[in-house]
Amino acid sequence: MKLLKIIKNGIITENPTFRLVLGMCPTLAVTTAAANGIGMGLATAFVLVFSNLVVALIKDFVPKQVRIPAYIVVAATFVTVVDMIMEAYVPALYESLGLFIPLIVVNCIILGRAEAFASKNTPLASVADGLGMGLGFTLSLTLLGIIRELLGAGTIFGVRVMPQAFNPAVIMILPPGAFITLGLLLGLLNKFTAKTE
Amino acid sequence: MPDIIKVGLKLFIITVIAALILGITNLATQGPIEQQRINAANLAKQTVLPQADDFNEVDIVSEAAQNDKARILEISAGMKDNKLVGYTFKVMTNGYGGDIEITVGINMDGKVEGVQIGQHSETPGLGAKIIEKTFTDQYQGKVIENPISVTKNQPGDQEIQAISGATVSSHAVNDGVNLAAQYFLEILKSGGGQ
Repeated sequence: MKLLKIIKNGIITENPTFRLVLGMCPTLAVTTAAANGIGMGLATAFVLVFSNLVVALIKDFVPKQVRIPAYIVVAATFVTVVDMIMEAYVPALYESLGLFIPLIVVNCIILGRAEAFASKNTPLASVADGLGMGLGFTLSLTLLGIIRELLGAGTIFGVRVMPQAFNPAVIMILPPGAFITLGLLLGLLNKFTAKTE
Repeated sequence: MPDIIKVGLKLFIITVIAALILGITNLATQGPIEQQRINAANLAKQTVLPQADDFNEVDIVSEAAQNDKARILEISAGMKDNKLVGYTFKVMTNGYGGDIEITVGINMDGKVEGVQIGQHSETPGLGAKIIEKTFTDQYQGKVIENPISVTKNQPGDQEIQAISGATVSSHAVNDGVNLAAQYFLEILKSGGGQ
C-alpha cells in the first residue's frame, strides 16, 4: 500500500508540473497539441522509471561528492540507448516520439527525482516514484495540450471539435499561450487547494 | 588512498560502464538504423514520384543547383522497368524558423507529381501547416514550363494558394519547388543528367 501512496504522491500531492514546478522547459515547448503532451509525458515516464531504478541500485556505490555527474551519466546513457533502439526497431514510434527523447536528458525531473527520492529509497519504491511522477507529468502535459490545442487550433487530438465558424486564437499555440495557460492553471489549482485545506 | 582519487576512480568506473553499454547498443543498432533511414528516404521519393519503383542517385551540376533562396541536396532518377520516368529532388530552403527540407517529384512530361515536406522548424499551427496535404497537393500536376507563384487569393493555373498567416513558409516551399523545376528544365529534360 505504501507503493500506491508513492504513486499517488507523484500524480497529485507532488505533481511535478503543478506542485513541484519542475521540467518547465519541455512543458512549455511541446504542449502545442494534446498528442504531443502524451508523447512527451510517456517518454519521460519511461526513462524516469528506469533511471530511478538504476540510481537506487547504485546509490551505495556512488560517492556523494560526484553524485550529480553520476546521475546525469545514468540518465543520458539510458536516454541514448532508448533513442537508438527505438530508431532501429520501432521507426513508427520513433517518428512521433523521436523529437522528445533527447529533450528528456535535460529534463530536471529526472535529476530531481534521482536526487530527492531514488538516492534515499529502495529500488522498488523508486520505481513507484518514477511511475507516479511520470504519470503526473503526462497528465499535466496532456491537460495543457488539450486546452492550448482547443483554443489555438479548434481541435483535440487532431479531431475538430469547435464549429467551423470558430476562429482559432493562434497565440495559444505560440509560446505566450504556454505561459498564459500554465499561469492560469497554476493559479486556479492553488486557489482550489487552498480552500480545501 | 586519498579521497579524491577514490571518488574520481568510482566516477570513472561509472562512465566506463556507461560507455560500454552505449558502445554495445550502437554496434547492435547501427545496421538497422542505417536501413531504416534508407527506407524512409526511399518512401519519400516513392510518395512524390509514385510511378517509379527504383531510384538511382544522379550527380548534381553545382552552378544550377542553388540560388539565394534554396539549394538542391540530392537528385535521384526514378526508374520503372529500367525506363526513366522522372526525377526526385531533395531541396533545402529557408523558411521562417530555419531550413525546410522538401522532396519534389517531377515526371518526364515536365509536370510536378508530388511535393513532400521533411524536416522543418516552422511555427506550430501556422507555418507548420505546409506539411498538410491540402497545401502540398496543390502542386500535383502543375506544369513547370514557367515558375509557379504564390497568391493569397483563389489560385490560377500557375499559382498555389498561400497558407493564411504563413506567407513566408508558403513562399519558402514554393522557392524550393521552383528551383527543382528550373534545374529540371535546364539540365535534366534533355537527358543531360544520365
